[in-house]
Amino acid sequence: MRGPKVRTLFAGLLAGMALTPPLVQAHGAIISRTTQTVICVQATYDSGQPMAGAQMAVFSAADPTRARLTGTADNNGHYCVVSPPPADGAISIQARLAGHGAIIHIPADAERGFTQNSSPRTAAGYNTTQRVVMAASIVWGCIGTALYFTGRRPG
Amino acid sequence: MRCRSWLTLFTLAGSLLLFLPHTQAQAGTVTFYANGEELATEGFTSPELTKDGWTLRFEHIYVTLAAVSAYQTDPPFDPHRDDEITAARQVSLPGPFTLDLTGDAAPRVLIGAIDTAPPGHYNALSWRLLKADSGPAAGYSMMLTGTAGKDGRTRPFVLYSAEESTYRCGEYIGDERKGFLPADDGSTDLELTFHLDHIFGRADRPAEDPMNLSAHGFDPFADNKIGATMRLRGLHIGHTGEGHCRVEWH
Repeated sequence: MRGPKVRTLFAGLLAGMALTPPLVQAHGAIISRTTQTVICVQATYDSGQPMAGAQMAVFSAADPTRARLTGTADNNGHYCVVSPPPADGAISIQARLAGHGAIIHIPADAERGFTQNSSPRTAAGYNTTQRVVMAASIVWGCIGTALYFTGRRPG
Repeated sequence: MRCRSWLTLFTLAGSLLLFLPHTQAQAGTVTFYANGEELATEGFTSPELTKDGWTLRFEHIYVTLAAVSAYQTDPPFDPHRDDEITAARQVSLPGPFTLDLTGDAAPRVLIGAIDTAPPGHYNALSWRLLKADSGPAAGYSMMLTGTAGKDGRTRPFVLYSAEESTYRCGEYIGDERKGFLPADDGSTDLELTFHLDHIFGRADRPAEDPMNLSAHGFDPFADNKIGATMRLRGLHIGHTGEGHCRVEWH
């Protein structure tokens, strides 16, 4: 007796779902979120006067000689970049007006206190062979140390 | 025992390799130019007259430079904030060099080149402006000769300064970014740019423009017979492109 009742109830539920008009589904509301970095700069002369209408150019660290974005500062010398390329976020922003200009460098982790993301020694560039030999030296040092102490086992 | 000898040898070899990047890194060429821009070669002509309305045409603009140096700085040298340039790498031309910014090669006048420069971004520049020991500008760090005109009057002039100074600049600012020396035996160039409008001002700029407020114009020199001393202290003549430099007067 219980089996037919359950089956009837289940069939009813399925039928109800099937007959629900599509309009009801469209009432669902979804908010999605994307986080964008906005970096704003103000270009001024050293007198403090804003560089109104300055030509602005944004360069990425990956391709520092080609402007990725260009634009114009507002009357107060303000210029904002939203979601600056590339993904690592390290950018340089240049302002120029009437024969004078300046550039500001903003590291990728600027929000965490403007620490630098490059070191001069790395910039010098070890080649692959040097890196492999240095790594091998470290590994061999560990093995050699182990062999040394193995040889000193009392006996 | 044998094992330890190999270990020592291998470790020594690895340690020596640590120093190789500095000695074996590929070198490239950094070339330095001086540039007086169009105001040096074309003069101050309408609408770019001096702030007090003079036309200027230059016959010679002599500058004497020494210790022309390019630097790789990280963080980048900021002439508004930093007193000294702290660099990971530096290349220098000792000089001295007396150049004519109106010469045949003007406006870009070759100072010299260094073909053993390590790769990287040369984002700071410095030079010293000093008195010439010999030559047409002997005794002066900067000397300008030419002809001035206003309201139908025409008069030759010789302006000179014996003041010495050191310019320390950040990155070159201009239509392109400069100073990137690639690792593959490449080349790059840098520019010492002299803004003559900081001496004479510009009639096509507002009178309240900070440059015009500090510039002499030409009126102070107009009543001298021919020669007159220019006081350059306080003026920011040297730039790198449009980029600002810190000036230390000696």
